[in-house]
Amino acid sequence: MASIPPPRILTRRRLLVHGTAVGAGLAFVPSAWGRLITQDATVGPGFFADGVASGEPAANAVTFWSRLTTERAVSGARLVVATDEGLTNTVATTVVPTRRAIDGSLKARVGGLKPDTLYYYAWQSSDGVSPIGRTKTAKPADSAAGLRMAFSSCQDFPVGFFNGHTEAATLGPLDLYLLLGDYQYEYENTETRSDAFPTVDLKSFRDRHKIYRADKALRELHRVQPVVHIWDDHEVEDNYTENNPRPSDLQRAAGYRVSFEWMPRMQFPREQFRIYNRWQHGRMADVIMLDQRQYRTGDLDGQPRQLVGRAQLDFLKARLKASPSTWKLVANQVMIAPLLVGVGGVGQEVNQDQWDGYDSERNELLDFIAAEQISNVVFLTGDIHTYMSNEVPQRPGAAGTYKSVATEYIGGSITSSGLPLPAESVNAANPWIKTFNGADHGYAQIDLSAAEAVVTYRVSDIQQEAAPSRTLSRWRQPVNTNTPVLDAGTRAFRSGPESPADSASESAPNAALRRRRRRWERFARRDVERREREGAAPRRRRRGKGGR
Amino acid sequence: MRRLILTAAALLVLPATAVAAPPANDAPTGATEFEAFTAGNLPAGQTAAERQGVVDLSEATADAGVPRCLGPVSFAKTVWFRVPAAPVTRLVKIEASSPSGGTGEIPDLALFVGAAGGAQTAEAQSCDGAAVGALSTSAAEVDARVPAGRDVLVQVGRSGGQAEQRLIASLRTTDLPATAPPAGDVATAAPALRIGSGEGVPLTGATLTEEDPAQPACPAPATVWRRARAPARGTYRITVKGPAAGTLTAFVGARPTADGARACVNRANAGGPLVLPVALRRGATLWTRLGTDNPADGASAAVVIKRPPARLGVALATPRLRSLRALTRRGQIAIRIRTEGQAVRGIRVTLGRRVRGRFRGVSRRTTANAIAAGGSKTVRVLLRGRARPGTYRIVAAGRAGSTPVRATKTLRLRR
Repeated sequence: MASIPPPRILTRRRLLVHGTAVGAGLAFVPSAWGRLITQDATVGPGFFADGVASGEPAANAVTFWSRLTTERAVSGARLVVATDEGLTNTVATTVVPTRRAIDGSLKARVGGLKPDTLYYYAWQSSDGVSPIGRTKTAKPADSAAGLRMAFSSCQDFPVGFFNGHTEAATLGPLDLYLLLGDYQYEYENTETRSDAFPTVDLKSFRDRHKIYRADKALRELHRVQPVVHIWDDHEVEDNYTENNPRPSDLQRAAGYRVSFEWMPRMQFPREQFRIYNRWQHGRMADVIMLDQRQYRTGDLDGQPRQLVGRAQLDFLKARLKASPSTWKLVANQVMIAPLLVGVGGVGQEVNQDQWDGYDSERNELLDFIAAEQISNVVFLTGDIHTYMSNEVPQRPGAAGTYKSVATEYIGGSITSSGLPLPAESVNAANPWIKTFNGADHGYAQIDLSAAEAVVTYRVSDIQQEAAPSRTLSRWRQPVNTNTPVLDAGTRAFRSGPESPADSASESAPNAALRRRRRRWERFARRDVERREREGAAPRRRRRGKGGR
Repeated sequence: MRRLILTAAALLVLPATAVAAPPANDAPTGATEFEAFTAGNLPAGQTAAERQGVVDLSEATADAGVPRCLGPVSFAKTVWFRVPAAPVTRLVKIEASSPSGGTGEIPDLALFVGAAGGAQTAEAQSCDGAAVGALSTSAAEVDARVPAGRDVLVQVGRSGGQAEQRLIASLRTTDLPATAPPAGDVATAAPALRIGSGEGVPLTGATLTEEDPAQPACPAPATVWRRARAPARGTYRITVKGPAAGTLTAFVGARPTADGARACVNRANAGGPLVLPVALRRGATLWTRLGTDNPADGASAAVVIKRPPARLGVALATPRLRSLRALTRRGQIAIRIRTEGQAVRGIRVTLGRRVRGRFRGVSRRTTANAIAAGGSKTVRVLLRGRARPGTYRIVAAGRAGSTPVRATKTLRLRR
């Protein structure tokens, strides 16, 4: 177990904010409150079984995360942030309280940090020390230096290994890693067992996140790269909307709340589950994050069809217009370029769950980008489990004529199965789609400079744990153009609807994948058993994971 | 005419009143049950393990006569849910937060375990909410191991001044194996503890009952009680050992009430003791509550309450200066001795002076002896010799015999 040397405290930030007493009611108040004992946050018992994470990097601040595994309803941990891996040059320490109400999660946003600097951090309880994490602050506002980021989406645990994360964790310090939704799946895993639990309430969502964070690759990614996350539908329920299908209030609130508990993401005081936001990385990039699930309306509810809602759309337009950065990266759950399938020689939209189903908002946004002549708008997209590099056409004509006002890069999926459409026919019906691959799985890198954006799609065999990644294709987008250009030496399309390997992962899992699925089953079974015996038997004390 | 005007006014007001009617579960007597719900990813016909309560407090009111366990501004608007009694002991867990689109204001939650005769709202057993302090995610949670056959009422609300009116609450119940409750599971039947001697306290099968006052700083779903009477005034030290004990709370009074809570401590690490100093008056009844998170088979703790260390205080008898002057003329000084703690019996009071930093008695004849077994006592010391007005004298009081317990006070003799 690593140990933390006594911190040399240069700054100390107390994050405990006591509730504000405002006004008094009229009812008779007995004196029970007179002995409400107050206590400052203190370091308490627990260990860090779920790893560490950091996120939301700004030029001077980062959000740090971990979770205390403890039976105690009240506990806390000390966060130590330093400039060296040995944690001797401490720049900040703080004691962060946690309670059962937030499932032991620990979060602190530490300010006063230097821009474009590597920091190392660890959490310390009275019983143990977390793994030492690494993070990086954003470049200063006036920096014109290049950036390296990566993004991925759609990680279905029992389908395959998260090899994309394995490689992304080894890339060296990224400026940002974007998780673009479907961080977890809500299904019971009917492919393997029927007793795997679907996520519908607080406990099931929390247990599901524990399973995901038990994945070595995902834990390592969180440990060494700063992330931002936007949720998509599977963080709650498949393709849910406000009304069709409408999840129960608790399922929806639980999905959002548990996502906040498990991500290095701070709450907005006025809207606790707001995730649309914006992060600036020097003069090179503005990262605008969207929420295309929480504000949907128009499905059988008599309201206008909205994907992002008026407030968020206005926020997006304002940020795009005001952005001082060369590149405007829009973290985008669902595909914005139209996806048409030729039916009788006529292209028809096939997926009303994405921007195709919300023409009014899409037209308003793309018309705005065109009218304001906003350049270098790049959508980074998840959801559809398919690698695509697209021009984003503004109101394409029926004859296939269009004007591209932005670009879109879809980074495949970490493991989830892709669209079984023939690539050539997709391109024929959608000339703005420059590549289409639903067979491979992995992530994408994006390197930004003043001259160009370079997007590299990396894939690997998800049936083999830690299988090496290879480049699927690389795309260059010169600045002030709205067209992805295939890099020499890589291919835009592969033949056939799906690769043999991908089909195999669905029907005939190899031994390693079977082991992974059995692990999933064990977790599920354990959960059921734990529910049955909860509180009845003493839990065995875990050893060797940062505490007793 | 006046009646006509009043009637007309009432007719005008009535429709508005009807629109602004409080919810059906505004009062504890109208408490509703949490509702089961299904989901698209559940098998057909199956409901979630948790139940939900969707709340809009816009027209809800506060509860007259129900203690606000989180302070005077807490629970400014509330509604009530009921968890019906079950034939077995259960872990009842309720959580609450704002729904989608809601603010980050923390809701207030209180849990009332019913008495054997029915529901009660006189004392909450578990409370959480805005007054407890901000966390990284805005939520509140209460839980309790509820004995078989007991109803539970849940008060869900918001503090005064909060803008958000909606919240969503969830209920999860887990049946527990039948286990006989330990001695002291009910506060009023708490066994007496002997001060100074340790005692093992079984925790297996502990529950929360209607007599357990909530203390949000040190929550626990199950508790066991012990009581003791303070033989003397002083600060007593309660020590609890054993990993099964998660909290230690001290109450003082004829019976334990929320108002009588003096101090509490949460477990700070896996193996260390819980230590709580509590100041008590002589004869006060100390109620010691051990909270446990998991009172499984074999769970126990060891409790010891130590008497306060002996202390002496020295003061002149009042009125101070006049007495001193008068008594000095008569060659006597009246000294008030106050003793605290144990083993202070024989007191020797000596008049002397400080020589090179050390106390030196003037004469053996200036020594007086007294018996002071806790409390105050006035003793008189005869002043003899060449004590001149304006000189300084030191009164030293100490336990008879060789003891480090000693207190001194410097006096200036006046004419």
